[in-house]
Amino acid sequence: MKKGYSMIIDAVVALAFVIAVLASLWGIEHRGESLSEITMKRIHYASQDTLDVMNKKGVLGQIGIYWADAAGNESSQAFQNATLLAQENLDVLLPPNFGYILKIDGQHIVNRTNVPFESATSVSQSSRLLVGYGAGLPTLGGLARAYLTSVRAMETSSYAYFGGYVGQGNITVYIMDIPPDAIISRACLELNTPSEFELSINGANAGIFTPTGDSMSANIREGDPPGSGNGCMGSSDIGNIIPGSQNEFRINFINSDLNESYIGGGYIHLRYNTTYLQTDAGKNTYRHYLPGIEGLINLYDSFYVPGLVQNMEANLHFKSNYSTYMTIGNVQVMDTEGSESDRFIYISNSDMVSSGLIYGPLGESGTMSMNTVPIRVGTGNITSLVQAGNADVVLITDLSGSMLRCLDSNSPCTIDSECSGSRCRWPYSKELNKMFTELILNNTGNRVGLVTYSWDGHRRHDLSSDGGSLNASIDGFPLPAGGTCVCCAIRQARAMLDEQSTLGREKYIIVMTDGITNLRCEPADVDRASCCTDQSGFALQCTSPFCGGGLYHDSLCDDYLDDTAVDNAIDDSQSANQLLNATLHTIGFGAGAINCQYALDALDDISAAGGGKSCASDDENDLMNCYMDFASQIYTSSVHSQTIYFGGELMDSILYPDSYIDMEFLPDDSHAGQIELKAQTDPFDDDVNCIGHLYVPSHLFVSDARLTSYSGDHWTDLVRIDGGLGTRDAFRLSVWGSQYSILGDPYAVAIPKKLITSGYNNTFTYRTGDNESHSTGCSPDNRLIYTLGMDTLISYGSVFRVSDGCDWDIEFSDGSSISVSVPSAYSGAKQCTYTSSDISYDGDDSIDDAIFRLLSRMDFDSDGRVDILFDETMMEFEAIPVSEVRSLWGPAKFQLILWM
Amino acid sequence: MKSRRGQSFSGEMLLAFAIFLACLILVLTLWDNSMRDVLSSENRRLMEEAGVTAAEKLIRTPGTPADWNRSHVASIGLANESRFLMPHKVKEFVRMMDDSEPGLCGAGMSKYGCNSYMLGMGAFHFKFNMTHLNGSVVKTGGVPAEAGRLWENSTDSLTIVRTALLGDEIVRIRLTVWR
Repeated sequence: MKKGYSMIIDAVVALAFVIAVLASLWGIEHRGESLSEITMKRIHYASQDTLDVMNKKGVLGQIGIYWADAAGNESSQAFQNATLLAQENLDVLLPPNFGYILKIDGQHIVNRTNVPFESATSVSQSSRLLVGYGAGLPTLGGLARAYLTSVRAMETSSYAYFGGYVGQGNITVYIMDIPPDAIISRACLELNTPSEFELSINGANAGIFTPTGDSMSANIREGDPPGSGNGCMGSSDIGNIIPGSQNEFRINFINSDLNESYIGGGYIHLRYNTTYLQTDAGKNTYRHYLPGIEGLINLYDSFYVPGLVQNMEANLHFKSNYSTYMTIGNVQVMDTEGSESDRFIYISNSDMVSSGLIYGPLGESGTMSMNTVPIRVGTGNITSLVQAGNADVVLITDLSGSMLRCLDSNSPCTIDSECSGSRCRWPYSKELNKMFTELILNNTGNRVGLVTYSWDGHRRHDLSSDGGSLNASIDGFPLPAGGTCVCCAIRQARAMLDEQSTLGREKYIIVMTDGITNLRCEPADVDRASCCTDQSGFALQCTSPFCGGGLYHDSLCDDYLDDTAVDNAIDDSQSANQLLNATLHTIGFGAGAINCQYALDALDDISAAGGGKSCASDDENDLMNCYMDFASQIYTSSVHSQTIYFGGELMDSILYPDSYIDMEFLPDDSHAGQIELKAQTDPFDDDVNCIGHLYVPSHLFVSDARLTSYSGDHWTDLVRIDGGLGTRDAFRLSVWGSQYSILGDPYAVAIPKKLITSGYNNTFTYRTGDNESHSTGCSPDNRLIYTLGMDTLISYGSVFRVSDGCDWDIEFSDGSSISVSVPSAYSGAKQCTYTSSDISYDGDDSIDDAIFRLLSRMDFDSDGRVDILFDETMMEFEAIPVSEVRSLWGPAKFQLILWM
Repeated sequence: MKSRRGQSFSGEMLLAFAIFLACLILVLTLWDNSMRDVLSSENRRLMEEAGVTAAEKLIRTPGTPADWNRSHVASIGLANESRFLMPHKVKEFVRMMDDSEPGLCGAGMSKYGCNSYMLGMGAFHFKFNMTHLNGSVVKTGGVPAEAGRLWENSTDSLTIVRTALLGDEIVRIRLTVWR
């Protein structure tokens, strides 16, 4: 029995196995086919084909037009049109077993749901982005642009610039770029000069001009409003200017003193109307003429090349009995001996290069390309020739009682013979004072003032360059007596500099003492330069809190000390340095100073606070060297003036105005075909922060800009622009060398046009100086002279529903006006105006919009008067249907979803 | 001693053998069918791929060179730009496949036979025709826009339908691939 069960179980197991195998095979047999993939492809290609064909056929565009016109309103006729048109085409193009939806920017245009979307086995979608369609925006209509073919007149200018220093003697310049049809309305000079001169134009007298103002200003001016200043010429004088030819302007100084015969920067400005569309765009050559100088050739100037210099050569024509040299940048390219005959010097390109001039790269510091390059033409080898200084030095002498002692000891004396082998301090100090004064005054322009002190500070002589008077004052110093109030003396010296020196002059204080300052100053009254005096003004040995309250005797120094008195002197030294930019040196005079460490430390601290040095000795020669070293240092530092002073007889030297430098360059870029107008800002009138501004409207560009800078006796050494590209140095003189006196001095500093940003308020910072670390402020009369460029072609604007035109009334800046129909065949009733009293036009008309944009672009000051004059025949426009223009609105997304 | 012969030829043994045999036959049959379907499906996929690729080439590429003609052609495309067909290319294509016209193919070889490879369809054959939306055949230069062959006894075939423009007109292209 058990065996039978066993067989049945085997059979059941075998059957289960068979069933399992059969089930597996059945599964394989009936596994889903890959038909869904094929179906998917078919739907995909159908949707792609349909959208593409409808687009190419223009059907999609027409649906887009209806959709745009409907502006989202699904009950509108336009929307129904879109639905019908889409349905009509899709029903034909797509097989009936497909369901579909067409959407534009997400809005359902049409759908077919014969196959419910929910039951779809395959879904595909295709889309097209079409520009030119926007809900509610016109897709039919027109757009237009306008442009000028010519101009009737525009007001612009010509300039002739003088360099930072043009002298010394009579000066001649030419202006050659006046258009032949120019009608000159104004001719003015704006410049700085120390003396009166007579101007002649093409040989005809044009009047006498008298400067009013100081050295760092335009003391001959165009005036405000322009034309009202003391630098402007009369109409009869303007009549002597010949448009279209070379015009000579000659400045003859009335005073024959060559030291006063120069121009410290400036220009001649001619304002006129012309029809010439002037432009330098595309020019690849530039000729920089040097001014004619009759007297002593002494020129500090600059030039600017708006591109990458390829070649440079110079032709110089001069006559001079003295050696003559020319420096471009920091490279001397010519140095010739004097001659009694005319000299024609040609400096070739290879000479320029071999001299060390570097042409590129573009705008790189120290290259000729797109940098303002200083040039210097000067005269040498005149024995009586000196350059001027600008130092004001106050020499302080100790007249305390200890000055009646010997240099090397504390033995009393009044004369040298009482000091065996040494000198008596008092007489020797006067001797050194005279020597020091003489050394300083060797530099014309330097001045010395004298202060002495004991109980208090006394002015003995104001700042002066009169050596005899100063020596007499030194001889008259009273017999030394009393205490040592160094702070009193420093206060006197500071007051003298404050009252008598000026901004830009170098200031020094030399403090001499033979001992230790031990008298205090009144901290609450910094102008009080005395310790204690009685009511009649005589000094007293004070015991008041501020004059001598802390005195104690030091046996090593053999003197009375007061720490507060030393601190007072240090504070006053620091004040002089910080308030006046004065440098204070100290001299320890004799044994009293040299044998006392306290005194030496005090001298060091006082000089350090004043930005100077100290020197001490009890040896007469060493002390002399102390004075000489300080004098020499001041002398060297103060030699800076651009004026050459001379004594004796001088033979005239002449630089002829046909001398020039020629440059060939690759222009940086070009704005050819556009109108350019010259304009200038008002004077920036900021000599405190030295900042000016220029806003350039976004539709204009600046193709050339010159920042004028009156530098007086100094050098324009920095012009910086803060524009859209950030803060950049447009000019830095120190890149050409640290010793300014051998470099040229630019008056009109070029600003590379790439640094001036349209649609931006560009800020300019300017500075003068005698070296990189010694700034001398700036002139309030600096301004920007620039060339404003304007595209005469207005680009296409927005799409408007109509392009009809209008009858325009247009007012010009000269007061004239025109009435013109645009287009000329316009016969409608619309009236448009662009005048100072009214600006109105049809904002839905593409042609009116284009004309308005053109007129407003030519209205530089936005006063409703067009600044460029033209006739009705000179204004053209183009209007095109919008359907030919892409990329106006949108893009709109056309989406086709298919399923089955 | 007991005899064991009776067990060897028992009815249970026979039944088990019969069941086993039946199962074996069934398994083999199902296996054969499955393999045939797999191969058929794979062939169909290849055919589909060849057809889709050929249709894409025809309606979306200009061919090589772009201004090809019968005597100078490396690859056939009927469009100048996507889905924009050029009538002269359609005509050239039809004539290239027309066995009734004299051609350069060697003796015994039809024009279809020597040119069809340019559609890149490998071992598959094709039949091309272009119709208006109403179903009538488009004629280019008087010649019906039909090319290729269709054999009624083909074992397998599929048709790809695409839409394009011929000049200004919307047309349908049917490309039947068979073997």
